[in-house]
Amino acid sequence: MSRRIVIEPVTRLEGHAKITVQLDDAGQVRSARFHVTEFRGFEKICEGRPFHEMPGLMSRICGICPVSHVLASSKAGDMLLGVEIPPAATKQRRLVNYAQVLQSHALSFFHLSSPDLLLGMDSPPEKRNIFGLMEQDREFLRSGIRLRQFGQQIIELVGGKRIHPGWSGPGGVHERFTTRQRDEIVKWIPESIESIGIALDRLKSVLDSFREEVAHMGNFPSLFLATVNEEGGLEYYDGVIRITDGSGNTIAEALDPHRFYTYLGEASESYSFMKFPFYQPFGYPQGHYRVGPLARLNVAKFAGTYHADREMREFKQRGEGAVCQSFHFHLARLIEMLHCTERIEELMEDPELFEEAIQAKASLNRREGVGSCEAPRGTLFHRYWVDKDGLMTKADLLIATAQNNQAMNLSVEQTARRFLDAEPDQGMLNRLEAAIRCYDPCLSCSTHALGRMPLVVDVTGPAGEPVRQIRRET
Amino acid sequence: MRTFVMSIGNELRSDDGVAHAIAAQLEVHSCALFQLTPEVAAEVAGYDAVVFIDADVEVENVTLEQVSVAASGSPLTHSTGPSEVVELAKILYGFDGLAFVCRVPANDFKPGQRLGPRALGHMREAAKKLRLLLHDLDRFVVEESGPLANARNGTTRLDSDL
Repeated sequence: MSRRIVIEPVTRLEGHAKITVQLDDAGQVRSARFHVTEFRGFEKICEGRPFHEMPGLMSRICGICPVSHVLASSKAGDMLLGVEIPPAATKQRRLVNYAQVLQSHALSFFHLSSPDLLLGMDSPPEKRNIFGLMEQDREFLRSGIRLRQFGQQIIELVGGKRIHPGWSGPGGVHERFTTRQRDEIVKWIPESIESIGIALDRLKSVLDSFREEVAHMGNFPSLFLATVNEEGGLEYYDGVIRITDGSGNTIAEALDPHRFYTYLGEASESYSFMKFPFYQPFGYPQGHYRVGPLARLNVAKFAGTYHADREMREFKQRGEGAVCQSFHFHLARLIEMLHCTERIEELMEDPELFEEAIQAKASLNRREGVGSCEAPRGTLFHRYWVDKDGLMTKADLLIATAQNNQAMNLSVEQTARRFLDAEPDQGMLNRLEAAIRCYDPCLSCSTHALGRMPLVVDVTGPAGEPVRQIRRET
Repeated sequence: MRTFVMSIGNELRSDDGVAHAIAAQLEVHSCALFQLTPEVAAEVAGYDAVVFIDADVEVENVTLEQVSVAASGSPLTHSTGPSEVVELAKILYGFDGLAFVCRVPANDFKPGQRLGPRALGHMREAAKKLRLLLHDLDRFVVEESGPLANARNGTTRLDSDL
């Protein structure tokens, strides 16, 4: 008799989701799916609001990566105004974005994934958390907490508060960066670089014990998409979109992020509130792609900072043309933390950051604006339409986590086929969740497509027998 | 005694912002937080006492009690509760102070910046209880006896004593 295994809720991730695995009569995995079961609907909420309110409103999408939404929204606002913002404002936005990548990755790696990595996938569930980690290695956990504090400290110093900072808006930022802020930030940097280096060594030292997980927990060729700078290096704030494949070949280069909708499409599936984006020339589902730390390190040719470049060269040796194992999102995350800390250090010595001009003033000059940036989990796009008074008529948010949706489903299925049997133990089930945690999905961010979701209603009789299915396709 | 007040909640979710409104009435070093996360433990460790204030749908009246440390370590989300934060502060940073949590009845969490009647009705009582506690904490440095000493020993529920 066929069986269904359900894991709900999926733990140690942001938001609400479940995993279902369908087994056939022989106890073999027939299918496995990752279902996002929460719905937020910000695309609808913003309609009718003035566009200059959007950064503040959109930051409420997420308590982990609000800065990304503030930045994408501010940049869409810049485009609606038709302005180029002053260099000091650009650099301040870059600074806070680096800080956010740092704090978000610290949360993902140290608080959420380290229990799996350092205590083991088969360790008792009640111990597989930061308290279990605390019993084993206090210094490691302390350094993770300090790294997240560092990122949040910058966000609070510059943005005014650590969650939902509203310091940036259409045309620039609201306050000048000061030497006092710089002095607060620089004292954290040596310790942070050292801590990340220790974490990198620690992760690399345990990777051998995860050979099976590396090989079967989301290891498949796919497209990778990320923002790069003009030279093809790592870029988080402004640049062009590059797409590569699972062998490292360039599929598309120098794509304009402001026109993402011309080459990225969005499909829907009945089992999830989250969209399934794809690269249009390849169609759906063949055109699915991965974004985020793994994709950025695959797509970029170099990092552009000393320590991160050294680590990135070593990282690229783990694949043939591209690193296709989603397990290496963890490693990529730590390399990005190193890179962001080095970039923060560079910015502290940049005189342009301290300049007086921080705002470009203009009235509404366009009716459509697009903003994009690299959020911790991948490329983020905000597209707004406004009426003549600047009131929002429509918004389309293409969120990083959603762009990994198909990859997360493939990872769950591959993991289930390799590790699950008819009588799964806790370790097997944990591997299914860990496959998802590689992507560090932020589900609160990624469920906004009101009215465009397919819907399936199963009507059952008193004994649970299927009577009728009602479907709404998109 | 160095005391740190942490108010928890989203001020854009009606009653969820009640803790921040109460903290603003107290003349003490405070910090408004959206939610508790592990790094808050490092901040707690720098003080002799910490008081968390939070809106709560499950209490009928304002409660003020010592934080019971039980390392449950919920694996579910990115957030943690006062117990977990204090446990982390003790073990990771050697926090040896007192920790209290004040829970304020609340039931309206829809979007908005106005407090509903339930939270509003309990604000004054919560502020009064907290002022008494803060006053006693100030004296505690010279009077190592009485209800707060018992609190440090974990033998007294402050609700009834204050």
